[in-house]
Amino acid sequence: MNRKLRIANWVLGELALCLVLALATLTLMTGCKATLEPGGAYAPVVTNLDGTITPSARANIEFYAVDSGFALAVAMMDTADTFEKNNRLFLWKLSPEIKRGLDRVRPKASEVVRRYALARKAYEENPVPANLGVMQTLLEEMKSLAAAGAAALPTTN
Amino acid sequence: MSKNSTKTFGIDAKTLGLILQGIKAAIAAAPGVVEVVVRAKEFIASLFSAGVISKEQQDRVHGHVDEICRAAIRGEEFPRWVVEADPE
Repeated sequence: MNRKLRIANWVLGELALCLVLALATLTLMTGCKATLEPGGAYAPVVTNLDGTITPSARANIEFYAVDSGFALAVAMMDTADTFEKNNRLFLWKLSPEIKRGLDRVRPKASEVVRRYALARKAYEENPVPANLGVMQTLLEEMKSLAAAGAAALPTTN
Repeated sequence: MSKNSTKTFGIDAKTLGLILQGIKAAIAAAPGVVEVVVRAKEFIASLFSAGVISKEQQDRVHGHVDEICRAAIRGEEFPRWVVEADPE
C-alpha cells in the first residue's frame, strides 16, 4: 500500500476505533449500580408547604440509562456522518463505498430517531415497563446502525 | 513518476497534497470524536460508579434527548444524515 493510502487509512482507522469503543460501552448497561440524585429530571421531587422535599415519582434509573445510551448512539452516528460529509471529496477518492455505506444507514437512522421520539412521548405519558421496552428495542436498533456507520469507515491495515 | 515533478522532502506534490488533505480531515473529525469520547466516559462513569448521578447530569441528558425528539417529531432530520447525490 502506498504512503497516501497508509496515512488516510490510519486517520480513518483511528476515528472508527473511537466510534467502536464508544459503542462497546453501550453493551455494558446491565452493570448499572448508580443512583439518581433527587430533584433531577429522572428523579423528580415536590417541595411541601413545610419545606420538606419528597419524591413525586420513583427515581427512574432505567429511563436514564436508555436515554443516555440513545444520546451516545446518536452522537456516534452523527460523528461518522459529519466526518464523511466534511471530507466527502477526499473520502470519495479513497473509496466511493464510504459514502455509499453511510448512505445506506442514514435514512434508517433518521427513522429510528423518529420512532424513538414517539416511543419516549408514549412512555412519559404512561410510564409502564412495556413502553420502556419499546424504547430499549429502539436503542438496540440505533446501536446497530451506529456500528454500521462506524464500519463504513475504513479500518487501519 | 516523472523525473521533472517537484518534490518536497522526497515526496511529490500530488502525494503531499493528499497527505495534507488527510491531516485536514483528521482535524475536522477531532471535535466530534472528542464529544463522543466525553459522552462515553460520562456514560460509563454514571453506570458503573456506585455514586450518584447529579441533578445537573440528569437534566443535561434529558434536555439533550428532548431536543432530539422534539426535532424528530417536527419532521426535522440531522442535516448530515440527509442522503445527497454522489460527487462527480
